[in-house]
Amino acid sequence: MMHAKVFQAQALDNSSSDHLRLAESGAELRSPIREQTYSVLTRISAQGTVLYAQDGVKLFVKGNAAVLQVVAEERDRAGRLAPVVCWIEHNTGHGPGAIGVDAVWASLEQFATAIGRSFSEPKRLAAREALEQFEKKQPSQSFIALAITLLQREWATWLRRALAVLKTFGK
Amino acid sequence: MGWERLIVAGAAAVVAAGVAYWKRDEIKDGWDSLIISLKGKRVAVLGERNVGKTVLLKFLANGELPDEFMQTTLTEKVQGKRFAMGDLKLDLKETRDVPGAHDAIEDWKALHNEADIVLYLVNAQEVNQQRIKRDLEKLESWRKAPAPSPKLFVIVTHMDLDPAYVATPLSGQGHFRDRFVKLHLDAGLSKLSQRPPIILGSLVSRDQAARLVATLIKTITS
Repeated sequence: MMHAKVFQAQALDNSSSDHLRLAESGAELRSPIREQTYSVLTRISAQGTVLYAQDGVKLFVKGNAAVLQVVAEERDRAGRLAPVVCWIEHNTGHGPGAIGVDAVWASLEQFATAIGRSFSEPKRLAAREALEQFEKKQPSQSFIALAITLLQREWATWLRRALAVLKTFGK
Repeated sequence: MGWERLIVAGAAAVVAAGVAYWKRDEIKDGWDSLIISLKGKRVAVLGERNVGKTVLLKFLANGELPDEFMQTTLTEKVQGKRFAMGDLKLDLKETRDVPGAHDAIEDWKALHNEADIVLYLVNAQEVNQQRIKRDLEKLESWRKAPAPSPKLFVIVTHMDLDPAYVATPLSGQGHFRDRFVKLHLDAGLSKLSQRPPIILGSLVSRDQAARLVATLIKTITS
């Protein structure tokens, strides 16, 4: 299951501070946590891979974290498209805040409404599809990681045995 | 390696001299030559929101302007540009498109410290002197790091929206620039130990973007 951690959006006037809020409490983040949060978002978007990019929706994934970017209907003062961003994390246990695709999307829409943004139906559908792909991806990734760990253990056991045999020959 | 440098310098000179005569369908060829003179360089494009960072990076990456403009809320990779021309392999290194918000200052610093060339953009229509002062102060403090500092260039964009600039003949543009700098940028520039070259222009169309980049290349290589 996944949960939303932080929501972000640039101000439409391009001069006020960006909206950067904790998903769990809706509290606006303050410096120096703001700068640190930007750095985390950068690690995911600049170093991760793009899992979904369609209809104004983009999802970047790095490890068990993802960043969802959805273009809202409203434009900024310069007439540019203005996306809303959500940092999501996937974990097996129950994390804080909204859990699962429905709850993550509902909390993102709530944030968007609170800052005066809205999404078209095609973008809603695309964003949900992206979140579902992320949810599906994680268990298979975990499975691969588990398989690699098991293979590494097998290999280590085999290596230890081979070394023991060599030592016996040495004597 | 001397002949390679000669080719690079030659190509830059040809582009710089020929840019005034570019026709619409010649921009692509001209752009290829521009990239030659940026060979092996990592370019960091910095500046506050809505100054044209993404547009400039997209133009440098493929010689085209974006169809739709969007706020940059997340830092994204911009792939390096590689192509071969005879035996000469050309390579514009991968870089990142960063948000203009001051909160992304750590991203700016990381990008600045990896770069060979830093382009600091200012929107002529929304000059925020306080912000420029703060940004240039930061750039100056990063330059004091032990690693070699990147070359800094200031680019003033959106000049197409300034009727006085548009009406100024080519011969008077140097004087116009000096006046603009004195009026809007002097306070910020005073934070720098060395005054960087300043270029005025626009990214509103392919022609104007090509002209601006050609002026930049001419300035970099001169």
